[in-house]
Formats: sequence, C-alpha cells, structure tokens
Amino acid sequence: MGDFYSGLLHPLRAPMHILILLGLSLWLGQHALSHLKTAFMVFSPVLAAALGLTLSGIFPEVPQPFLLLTATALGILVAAEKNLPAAVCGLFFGLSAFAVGLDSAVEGRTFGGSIQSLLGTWVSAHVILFDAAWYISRGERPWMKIGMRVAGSWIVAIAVLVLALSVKKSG
Amino acid sequence: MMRPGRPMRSAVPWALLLLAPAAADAHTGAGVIGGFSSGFLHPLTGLDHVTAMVAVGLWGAFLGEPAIWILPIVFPLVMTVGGALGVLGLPLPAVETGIALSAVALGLCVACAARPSLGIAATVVGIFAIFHGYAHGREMPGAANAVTYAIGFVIATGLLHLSGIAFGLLTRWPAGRIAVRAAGGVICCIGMGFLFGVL
Repeated sequence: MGDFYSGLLHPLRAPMHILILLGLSLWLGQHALSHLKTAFMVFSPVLAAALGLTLSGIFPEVPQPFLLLTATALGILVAAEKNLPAAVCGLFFGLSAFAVGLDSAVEGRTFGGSIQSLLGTWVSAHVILFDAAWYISRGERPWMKIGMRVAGSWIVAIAVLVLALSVKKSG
Repeated sequence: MMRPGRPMRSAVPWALLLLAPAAADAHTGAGVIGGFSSGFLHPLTGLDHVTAMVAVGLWGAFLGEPAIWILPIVFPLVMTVGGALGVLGLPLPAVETGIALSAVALGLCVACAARPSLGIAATVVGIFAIFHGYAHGREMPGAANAVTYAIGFVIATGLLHLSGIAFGLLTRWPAGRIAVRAAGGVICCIGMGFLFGVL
C-alpha cells in the first residue's frame, strides 16, 4: 500500500503535473465533455505506456520546457475557450499524458514497488482529470465560464514565467 | 434529493484530498509550500501592487461587460511578458515609477468614470501589467520553488482583481457609484504618494 499510496500522491506533489492536468480538465469541462471518448481512448493508454517506459530507463528526464509548453498551450486553449477537432484534441491529450507519464519516473524502489507506484500515479491522474472535468462541465452560469477562462490565463502566466526561469538557468 | 449513485461519485475527489496531507511540506518555509506562500504574499505586501490590482477589478466592473472579465484575463497574460523580462534579467527602466503610475492612472480612470473603448482599456491595463510582472519576475529566482511561487502570486493577483470587481459591482446603485469613484480617488492618491516618495 505504501508504494501505491506514494504513486497516488505523486501528481499532487508535482505542481507542473497539476497545471497540465488542470488545464486538460478545464478544457474538457468547458466543452461539456464532448471529447470525453477521445480523452479516454488516448489519455489512458498513452499515460500507461509512458509510465511503463520509465521502468526501462531508456528515456532521460523530461525537459521542463516540454512540460511548460504543454501547460501554456492548454492554458491558451482554455482562455480562448477554443474547441478543436477530435483528432487535434487527441493529440493534446496524448502529448499531455506522454509528458506527465515520462516525468513520473520512480527511483529507489524494487521492481514490484515501482509498478505499484506507477499504477497509483495512473489512477490518481485519471481521478484528477476526469472528476475535475465532470465538475467543471456543470458550471453553466456565465460567471463560471468566465472563471474558467481566467483560470486558463493563470495557467499560461505561470507556465511562461517558469519557462523563462528555466531558460535563464540553462543559459 | 440525490440519486443513488451520486454520493459515492461526489465523495471520490474529496476522498483523494484526504490522502493529500502527506504532500504537505510545511514548517520550515522551504520547498513547495514555502514557494507558494512567498509568491502569494508578494503582491499583498506591496501597497502599490494591491491598489493597482484592485483598481483593475474596479475599472472592469465599472466598464461592465465584457471588460469585467477581459481585463482580468489580459492582465495576467501580459504580466507574464514583464515577468519573463524580470526573470531573464533584461533591463526595464523605471519599474517602480511604472507601478506607482499604474495606481495613479487606473485610480484616476475609476474616479473620473472614464469609459474608453475596450481596446484602449485593455492596452492601458496591459502596459501597466508589464511593470507589475517585471517586479514579480525579478524576485522569482530566489524563491524556494519557482512553480509554486508563480502559482502563488498569480492567484493573489487574481484574487485582488476579484475583490476590486466585487466592490465595483456596487455601481449598480447611485451611492455605490459614488463609493467606487471615491475608491478610485483614494487609489490615485496612494499612487501619487508612491510616485513622489511620500509612501
């Protein structure tokens, strides 16, 4: 239970993952879950695959700019209240799942413990994404829709600022 | 009356939150919580920041739809430009003057019941947002956790806008309009105080 619990908490301890998942859930909820089927079909397996890939140790740490650009793009879509074709939505869900999954590598655990931890992360990411999206989709009043767009602009602001910082640190 | 499956579904996100306390990194001010708290406090501990942010909300409420929500969206987006300049250490002259001027100008707009076009209002707000963002961005590299610092100060900025909007909604009553315009005058005076070094 310890390793699974740790994995369950992992997205809550990674602010960038929260930003990406929140951006996705806002976008999904904004459009009345019209892309829910695409989300399930793309996000779930891609996240599982990315989490599994972290066990191989082949992929290095995900560059933070990749996470930040993903969050920025999602924030822009939410702020603009922009809906996109299902295929493009699928691309965003896939990219986000890939980024979050690859950035969730587990260290210092046995193989069995790592599996449990990654499974916990997979569960937690789904709960955060789809439950938040469900509640957000219930926000039908004008001020709620405005609040979602404001939240999207906040996500962009946070991501761009941290991106500037990471550029400075790497420069 | 709740349907049979609903209590369980509604309980799931809250149950997840009950597991979250282990994620807290409190006590020392370092790490995630430390970064968030220092970022959240940054706009709140500067009267010049507070007055200008509230003035944005006041002016948006005064202008009505769609400015009431466009200005709080424009501000953080443009603020990131200034914030990025501050983080990267690029020069921006007269930052403190720009921040003081923002309180003067925005307060004056509210006090005089200025009603420019949406484009002009957004441009004015955007120009001043760069100075505020620069000041926040300049502080970022020393923060315990940059992401949570940014989350903290963006949320604090948004809440200040919201408080201005909430107060600005009083304009629907005649006495409220006087109160809001008076608040704009006070903000303008505070800005003047910073501009001339009195505050």
